[in-house]
Amino acid sequence: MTLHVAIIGGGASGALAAAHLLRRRINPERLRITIVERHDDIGCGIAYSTDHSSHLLNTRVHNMSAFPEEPDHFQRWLERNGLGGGHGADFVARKTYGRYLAELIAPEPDAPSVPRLRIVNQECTGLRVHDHGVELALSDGSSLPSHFAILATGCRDHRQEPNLADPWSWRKDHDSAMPVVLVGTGLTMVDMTLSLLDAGHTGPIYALSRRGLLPQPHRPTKPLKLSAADIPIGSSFAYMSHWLRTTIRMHEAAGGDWRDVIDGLRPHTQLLWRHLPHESRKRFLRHASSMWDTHRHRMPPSSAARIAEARASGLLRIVKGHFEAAKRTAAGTNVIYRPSGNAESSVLEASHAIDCRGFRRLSLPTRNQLIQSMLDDGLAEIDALNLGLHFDQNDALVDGYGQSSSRIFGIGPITRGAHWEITAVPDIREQAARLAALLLGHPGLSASASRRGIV
Amino acid sequence: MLSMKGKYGLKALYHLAGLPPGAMAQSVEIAEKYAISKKFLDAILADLRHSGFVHARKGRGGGYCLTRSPDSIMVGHVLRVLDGPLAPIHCASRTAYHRCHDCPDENACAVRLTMLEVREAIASVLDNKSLTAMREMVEAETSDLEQALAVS
Repeated sequence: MTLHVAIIGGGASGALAAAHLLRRRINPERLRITIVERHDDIGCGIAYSTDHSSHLLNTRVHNMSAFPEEPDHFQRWLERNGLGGGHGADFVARKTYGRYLAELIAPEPDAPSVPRLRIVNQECTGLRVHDHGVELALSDGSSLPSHFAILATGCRDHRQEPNLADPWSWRKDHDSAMPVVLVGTGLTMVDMTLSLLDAGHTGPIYALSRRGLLPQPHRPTKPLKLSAADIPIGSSFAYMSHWLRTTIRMHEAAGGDWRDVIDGLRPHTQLLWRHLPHESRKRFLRHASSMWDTHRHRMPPSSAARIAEARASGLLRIVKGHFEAAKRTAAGTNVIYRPSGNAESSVLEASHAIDCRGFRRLSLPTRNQLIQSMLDDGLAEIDALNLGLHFDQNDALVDGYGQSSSRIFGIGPITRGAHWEITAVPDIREQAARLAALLLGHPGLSASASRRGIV
Repeated sequence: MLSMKGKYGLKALYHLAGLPPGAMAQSVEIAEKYAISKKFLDAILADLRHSGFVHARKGRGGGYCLTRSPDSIMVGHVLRVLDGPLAPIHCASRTAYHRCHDCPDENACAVRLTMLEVREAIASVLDNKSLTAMREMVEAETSDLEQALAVS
């Protein structure tokens, strides 16, 4: 029997899922993969489709291999393509990474007549599960039968704030002396500021967020080799954050850097989230997630230097305040916000306002047709914190009656409710490996597959 | 090694896991049942309260109860809080690390490397054993015993 897996969404998560399935299959003739993606750039998605060379990977090259068991896979690909750049270039452009992912799943020169991997330029609008598999409804009215479906859709609902421009489709055709407002002060704000600087922007750039916290810069680290046995999993948020602060203080007193502790914790963040009580998860999201994000998701030193320069020259101004609304005016967009510690709202007048807030919670009804139809059919439910859909520990979709699906699985940010940290390649590639082993039914196959040098 | 603190803490939580929903138990009741000094038990319960495993209510009708369902509280969670990192030997922990005074090179120490593996095994057992599972083990044992007595 030929196993047919449909992957819905061809961004980085979908490409990683496909690459791991291809690598781990035993019999090449017996696996068919279909990626359903409306856009052309497979592998790029929101993360890697930017063609801007100032938009760098926010993770070092040596952590970005698509395959955890082969950590230098990306490094070697860069060298083969003459993009290595030696030791100085720890952070490469994101578009380069998009190319790498696309190549992982590109057809081989000696491809069989029926390709193992097919890309369908459609949108999936609904799913129907039956005894032997799952059927995808496509936007042209046709349907696609498969044994398993993997949701790799992300969970962005970009029409949530219609008066804010989307950072990744925004066109820079404005007067460069006019003010611009960036809503959010995370890594997307850094990207947008660098784009504006590259385009010779001279007007003020306002970056607005509740606490005005910017991503910390990367430094060379020696991650602390923490074991799950060292970390007080299952304790409350208050206890856990006290433990983290104490551990960092002790490590710094011994001459270390706080980054060593954060990076040492990183392999365990999903375990930590899984054991964190529900109330504590809520408290974390409310009080500490921006602090965590700015320390965990850091920016390359070269970006940090340019941001510091822009702030020093007064071009980039960080505004602390709560975003309330955006209104279109004749001259551009007005952003209404409440300055921190103030009861009265203020207005920032700008020619453009860009939404740099990153991942948001799902709000219902969502404009994402597939997700909404699955919710309506009781095939899926929103997770308890509205971060995405509800998936179980094995990344199987949980339906409206609390039952785990044996046919529909998830990968990447759509599974944020189950894992929290599932937006970066080092986390998603592990998930892809687990999922491939589960669907192909042969755990432990990965080692022998990589020895044979498949892919 | 399991300390007295860890042992008594688990017994107290085991007791609380057996309470009907909404009920509370006083520390004196737990102390008497398991023959623990009340002063020691109060200190342990205070630690369990700070780490978010038990609620305490003062006054008449007050006492202690679990903050969440007993099947989501694992033995490993509790022991990390009461006894520190799960480690059979001090040099096998990163956060509660002490070097052995007679050790010339800990990276080449066979005992330490073995204990690092032991530590992972300990964690995988304790992190999958919930308070509910503890109660079920005891119930299974007791019913076995009853069956054996009934047969003889």
